[in-house]
Amino acid sequence: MGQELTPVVKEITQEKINRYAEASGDFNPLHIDEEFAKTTMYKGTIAHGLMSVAFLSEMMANFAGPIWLSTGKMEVSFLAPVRPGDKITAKGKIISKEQEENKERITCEVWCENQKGEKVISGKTWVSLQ
Amino acid sequence: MGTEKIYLFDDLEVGQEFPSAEIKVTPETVAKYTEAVQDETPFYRDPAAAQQAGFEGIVAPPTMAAVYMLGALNQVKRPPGGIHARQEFTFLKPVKIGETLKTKARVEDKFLRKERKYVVLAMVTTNEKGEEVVKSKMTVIWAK
Repeated sequence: MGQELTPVVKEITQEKINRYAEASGDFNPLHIDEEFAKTTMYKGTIAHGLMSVAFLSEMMANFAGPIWLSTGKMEVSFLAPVRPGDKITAKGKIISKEQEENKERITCEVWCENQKGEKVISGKTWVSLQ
Repeated sequence: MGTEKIYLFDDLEVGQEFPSAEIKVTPETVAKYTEAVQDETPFYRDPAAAQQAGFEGIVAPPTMAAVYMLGALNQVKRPPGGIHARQEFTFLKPVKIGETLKTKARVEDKFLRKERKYVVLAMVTTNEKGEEVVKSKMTVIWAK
C-alpha cells in the first residue's frame, strides 16, 4: 500500500497541442488559436484536458500491462489549465487492494502536476491484476 | 451528420439520446493519436510486441476513447465556452485496428451548482459484434 507508480513526464508545446487537435478532431479555438484564446478567461491557448488523461493512462498501462485495456477504469477532475511550455508529470500511488475471485482489484490515487508542482488533474484509477 | 441545432442547458432532458456516430480505427488514426500523446508503449505501435502482449495485433490506446467520444459529441452542438470539468472512462475490451466502432451519447444528468450549469453525458462505444468496448462519462459546465 502506498506504492508509488513510475511517473510519466511530458513537455507540452503548441505544436503538440495542434497535433492532438488533428488526432482527436477537437479544433476548439481555445486550444489552437492564440488570438482567440487571449480573449478568454485563460488569456492564451491551453491543452486539451484529455491529453493529460492520456498521460495517466500511459502510466497505468506501464504499471498494469495489457490488462489495463480490458479492466481499467479512471475518474478524473480537471483542476487547472495546461499551457504550452508546461512540463507535466503524471504520478500515482496505490491506495487499496481488494481480492476479487482470482484477481486483485487495485485502486490508485493519480494526478498530473505541472513544473510548479500544481495539480492540473486529479482522480482515481482502478485495474484488476491476475 | 450532426444537427445544426445548438442545445442550450434548458433544451436538454435527462435520458435524452443522440444519434450514434461511427468511426473506423485504422493504422493511421492510431499512429496519429500515439504520436500526439507521445505514447511509445510497444503494443500500440509494433505488431510483434502486440502479439507478445497477448493481442492479435496492434491495439488502440484506451484513451483513444476521447476520439470516439468526440464523434458522438458532435451530434450535440453546444454553445461555445463550455468547460470540461470531469471525465470517466471504463475500458472493457481492447480495440483492434480495422474495427468500426459506434458511439452513442445520452444525457445522464443535469444540475445547477453555485449558479453553474452542469451536464453529465454518458457514452457507450460498441464494436461490430455489439460488444461494449468503452464507456465514457463527461461532465461539462454548459455555457448557456
